[in-house]
Amino acid sequence: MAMLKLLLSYLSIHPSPLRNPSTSLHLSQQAPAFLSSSESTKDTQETWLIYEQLLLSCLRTGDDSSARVCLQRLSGRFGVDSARVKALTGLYDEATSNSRGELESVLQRYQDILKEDPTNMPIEKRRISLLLSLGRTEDGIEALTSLLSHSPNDAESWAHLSSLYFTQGLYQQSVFCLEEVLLILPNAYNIFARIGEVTYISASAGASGTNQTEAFEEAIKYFARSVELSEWYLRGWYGLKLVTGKFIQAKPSDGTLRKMESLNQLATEKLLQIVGRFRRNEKGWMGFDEAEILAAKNLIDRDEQKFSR
Amino acid sequence: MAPHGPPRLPPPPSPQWVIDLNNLPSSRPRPNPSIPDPPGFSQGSAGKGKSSKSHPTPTPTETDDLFLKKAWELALAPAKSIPMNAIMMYMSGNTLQIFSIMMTVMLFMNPLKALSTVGSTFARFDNERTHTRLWPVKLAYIGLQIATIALGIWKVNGMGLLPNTRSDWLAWERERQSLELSAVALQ
Repeated sequence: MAMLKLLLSYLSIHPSPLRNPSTSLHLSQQAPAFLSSSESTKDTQETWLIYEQLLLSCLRTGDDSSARVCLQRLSGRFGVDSARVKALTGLYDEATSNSRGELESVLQRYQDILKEDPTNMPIEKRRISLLLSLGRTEDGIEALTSLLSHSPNDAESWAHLSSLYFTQGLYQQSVFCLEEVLLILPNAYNIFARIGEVTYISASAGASGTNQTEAFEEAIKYFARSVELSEWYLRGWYGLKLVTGKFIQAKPSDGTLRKMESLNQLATEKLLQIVGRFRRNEKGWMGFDEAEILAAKNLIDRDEQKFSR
Repeated sequence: MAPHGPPRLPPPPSPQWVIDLNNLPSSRPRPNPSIPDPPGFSQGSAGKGKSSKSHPTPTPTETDDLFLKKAWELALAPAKSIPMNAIMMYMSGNTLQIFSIMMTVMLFMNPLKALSTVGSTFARFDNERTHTRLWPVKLAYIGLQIATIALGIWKVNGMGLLPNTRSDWLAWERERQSLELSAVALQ
């Protein structure tokens, strides 16, 4: 009884263990004990959920033998023709292949499956990520656009496509995809901040036909909206401080200058508060990423040096 | 920090977004023309309000015509509800009870309210060019409201609430003065 309960409670605390290396390592270390225990043969919904999570985290940490056992039991229970098992099998094949040639053959298999059954979403997504990991970004973007044209409600795919366009320097398209995400999730403050970042970067890269100050103002609006939705969103305040700082350097007219200065001041205060509370290990303020705190501190220090000089 | 804590780890590397924001690309990378656009994307539609510029702005006469068309739609809207009201009134019977009374009261209230706000109803279509052309529209609207009231009066009449029979004015009825009296002679 203990093992199953332990894993379930762990999964309820960390609902997505793959996001973090340490949680996936912890989960995969439990795998051999769970697989050999008597509870692993129970046929309940929770057991199969655990099997899937264990398989993924074992693949991530390189415990291929446990992953193989998980996969065998899953395919024994649900059949090799189930769409989800097919995708997991593909994932296992991808993770255990050693050369580019093997990956190509996995890709070929995906394409065969999709020719037979074009509605198999998990395989379609596997194919996209395999194309990307093979370095074929253009094909990946094409596959992703075709996926989105038949299922436009997939916010994660839109966000993924946006980041791909961003790496290709197609900032306009990237912003467009993020706007699509906002249509699906209108309160996504992180997406607002991301639009602000992309707008700022694209303006600084001298995107054709856009006025730089106008684009900066646009970015500031997006950052402001993101911190309006989530008061302690470090990334939003960071962007707000950075872009308003740049804006002030560009010497705008009087009215806007005052507004930008007060925004900059506010962002600095909020960032200082976040950094201070994180450093003092205050309760409820430990959820921030240390690297992000460090970056915020750097930004504030840089700004202060500029003024003292 | 506790003095006997674990050895200090080197500071974690900056997240990717910080690197992106602080190392701006010096020039716009040449995008690969073979990359397809996302579904629904059109050049210049990213960002806001730019697509509206592509549509030609309508001329004032066109907007006036549109205004008038809209105003006529608004004016003729009550005409559609009159047949429905008539059927409802006919079907609900002439007895005095809560539902028929409420429906009849509504039949008077709504047109009266509408009649008192004719000006503000058509205010959004009103400008110096359309002002004279709006008169027939307003008259039609008022006429239809009066027709609705007439329907209400018909209903009230059917319920026997109109004081249009002689017995409704009994208080003013004079006692009949006889010109002559005749009596039996009791002998």
